Amino acid sequence: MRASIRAIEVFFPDATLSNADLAAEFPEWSVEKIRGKTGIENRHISGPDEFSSDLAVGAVRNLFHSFDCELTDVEFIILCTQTPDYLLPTTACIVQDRLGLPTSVGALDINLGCSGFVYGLGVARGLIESAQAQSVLLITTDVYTKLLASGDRTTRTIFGDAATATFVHSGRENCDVGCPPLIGPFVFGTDGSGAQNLIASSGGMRHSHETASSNRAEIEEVRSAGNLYMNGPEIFTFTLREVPRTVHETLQKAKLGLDDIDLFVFHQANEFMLEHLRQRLEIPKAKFHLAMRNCGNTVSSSIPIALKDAQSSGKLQPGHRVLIVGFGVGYSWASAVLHWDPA
Amino acid sequence: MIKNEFLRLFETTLSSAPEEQLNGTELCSALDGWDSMSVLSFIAMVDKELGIVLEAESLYTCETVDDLFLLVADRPAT
Repeated sequence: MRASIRAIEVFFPDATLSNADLAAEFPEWSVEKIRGKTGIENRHISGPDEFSSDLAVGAVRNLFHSFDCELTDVEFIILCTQTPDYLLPTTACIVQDRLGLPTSVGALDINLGCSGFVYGLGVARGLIESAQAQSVLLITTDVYTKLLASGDRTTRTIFGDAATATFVHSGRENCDVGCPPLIGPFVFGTDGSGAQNLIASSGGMRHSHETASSNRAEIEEVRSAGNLYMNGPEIFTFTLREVPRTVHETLQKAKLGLDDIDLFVFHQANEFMLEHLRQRLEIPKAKFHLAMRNCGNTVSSSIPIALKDAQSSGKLQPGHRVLIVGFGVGYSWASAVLHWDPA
Repeated sequence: MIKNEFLRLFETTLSSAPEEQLNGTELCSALDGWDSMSVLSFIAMVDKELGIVLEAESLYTCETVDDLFLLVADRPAT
């Protein structure tokens, strides 16, 4: 059998933050400058009582509404988040209960950011093709905006909150060993030497109550250790080092050329960075999908949001080959080829 | 890359254009258009024009535009 993505749905919090809102707070950056550099016009912001499990439940309910599946069809939940409701228990367990899913489901959280959806697909495929589960509900959900310092214009410009729910199921049950995968091959990568360049350093067990600021000059006065710190130049040089190489490695593993890919969906970090990567890799603009204008960088939700967007617009068709690449916090990265075969 | 070419390309990476052409002696911190967005533009420009991926840490020690030029002046393309 081969695992395949059958459906994806998305959920956004109602409240939004526009470029005009940001320009009013930070007059040195105009609406045009923000849009021009990031490709973002609006971000969704979770409410004060809205957390990752709430967004996750919203995404799954949207999925059940639009896709023909029952609660009892779900055998396993993988929930990817870096902003769990609690250190413990597992947010996937909370979501199982809130949705009324059978207690026979397996459930686990993955703590990954921008690479999380791709890693999650890898785990989902493994569970299904090793016959441990027939179906996996892969959820991505984060409320990163709750980590942002109000005075940190860079991160507030970029990040938005969202959740997605992807139904991964066994398809092609009669497929023998020689059948090509519908999800994969994968390339994974990790470089923990970059850990300090995208970090919220307190709130875990190492610095549970630390409030002292610790990083670069411009924003030391506005952030605490509990806020997200992002070293943009370091992140950018990391992507330039690893992403092109990973794309080539994935294509080689899949025995495909760049021209064999119908659509490229990268983690939607910011438009400036993505455009530079697109040019570097010589990917035609028509094949390079962007979907961050009205939601910003939604961490592990960014790739499934872009896939859903491409499908809804008709750009992504059954039978298409898609190359997805997630990269960022960790540092962590992963890439895969998808043979698009939705329900 | 000769210095003059570098200076003209550097000016395009700034978030706001300088009032006069730069000569290299300017302090980066004193340039109105040198901010977090222009740092990324500079990294991208060096990658695109010279095929060099800078170590981000090398930027932190640069005080003047000349210091930035010296990062790339003698570097071979990758």
